[in-house]
Amino acid sequence: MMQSFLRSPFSTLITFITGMVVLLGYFIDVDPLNVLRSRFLQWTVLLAAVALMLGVFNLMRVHWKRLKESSIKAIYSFAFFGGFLLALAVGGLLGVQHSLTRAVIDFVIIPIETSLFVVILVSLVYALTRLLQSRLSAFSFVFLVTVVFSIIGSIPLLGIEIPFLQGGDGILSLMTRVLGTAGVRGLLIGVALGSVLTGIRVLLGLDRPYGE
Amino acid sequence: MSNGIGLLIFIALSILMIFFTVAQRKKPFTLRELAAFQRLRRAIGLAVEDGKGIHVTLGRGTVLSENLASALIGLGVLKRLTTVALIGDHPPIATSGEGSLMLLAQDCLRGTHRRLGLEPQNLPQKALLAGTTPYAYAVGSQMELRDGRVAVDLLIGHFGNEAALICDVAHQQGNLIIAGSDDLTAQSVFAAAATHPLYGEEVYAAVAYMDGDALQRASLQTQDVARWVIILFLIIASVVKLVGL
Repeated sequence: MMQSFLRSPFSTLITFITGMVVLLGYFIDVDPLNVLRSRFLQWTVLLAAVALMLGVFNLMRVHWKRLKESSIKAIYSFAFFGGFLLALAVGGLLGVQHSLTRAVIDFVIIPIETSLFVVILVSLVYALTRLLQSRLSAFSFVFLVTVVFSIIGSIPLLGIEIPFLQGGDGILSLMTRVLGTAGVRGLLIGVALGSVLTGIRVLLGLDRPYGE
Repeated sequence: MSNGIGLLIFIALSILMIFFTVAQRKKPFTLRELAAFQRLRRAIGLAVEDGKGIHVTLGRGTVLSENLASALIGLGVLKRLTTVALIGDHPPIATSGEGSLMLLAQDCLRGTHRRLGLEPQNLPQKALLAGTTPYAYAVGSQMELRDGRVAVDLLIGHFGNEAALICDVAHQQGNLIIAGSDDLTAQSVFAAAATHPLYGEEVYAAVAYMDGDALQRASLQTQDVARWVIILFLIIASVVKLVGL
């Protein structure tokens, strides 16, 4: 109990001090502050790398447990360890510039990722049909029209330019430049405000989304 | 000059938020209804009754970039959900695509358990790094959904188009999918693939809708005020440009 009582204000204090130094170092150009700021950022990079390693160890632990349990997911865990050991042996022992490592990347990793990209495309088309079936509304209609217009705009129709639709002053260009950009800006303003206020809450120690 | 304005905006927003927090404690204002959170409240109750789980997908936001903010919202949601889900002894599963986010999620689950006087069980399996690249992360998250023990899927954080893969499996399992991100590609994916997509700043309102905390509501109020200031600024700037001043 005592430990948790001490831990929370202590970690909040560290968050506040480091956060303020980094923030003020960004806004105010003073040498000691800049040095401290870049030192803190270097530490963050190191800690992020250590966290990634811990994450990988955690993943191995989870998959090892699944292998031992011989559950239905064990086959995925088996594939995980196979891939992990292959990557470790090829990349770790031979180095990333070795021809065998390049071959693994070019003939295994890239084709798998490309196929997943195609799966995404198929699942998005399926999701669109689902949207029209289950949530037929003005929004889904506008969404569909936008998708269709965007596809028409990005695919050359046998080299023929449709008047009023394609080209610099066409409807498609107008939709992208005016409506599209306005929508994107509106969403980004909302996201930026939300991000800034979340940052302020955490930085001032008012909100602590992790821990107790 | 621009640095000075940035600092001024930071100070103004901080003061405004503290002012609204005090005002909220005296007289809380009512939030407009968002269908996603109404549905979420019901779905959590049903999931707890059925003994099913909740999956929180925290995305790939890193501590070194601005996209961590949406992941912090995801963590805030995870914290609130864990408190409710522990009633049914089924803590949520949290998957992340970044090591530091996984550690924060584990800390979040551990802290909530201890606050309720419980000892966390199988923590490495409850908050895990599902993969380190976007597609590996999506496929790793899919695995947590395939056994039918999850009823609600919350995707809150930084994603790309790989979120479509997670939503697809969640839909196959018949799960309720509530999804929001800071990324525009992910938002457009969610518009088609999620049951209840959250657009723009809606994702940042998630925690305020889950509990009546004055600070969270004050944050929303500050966001609203700042948005109106920006809108006014844009209108005035457009008029000035149109007139040719």
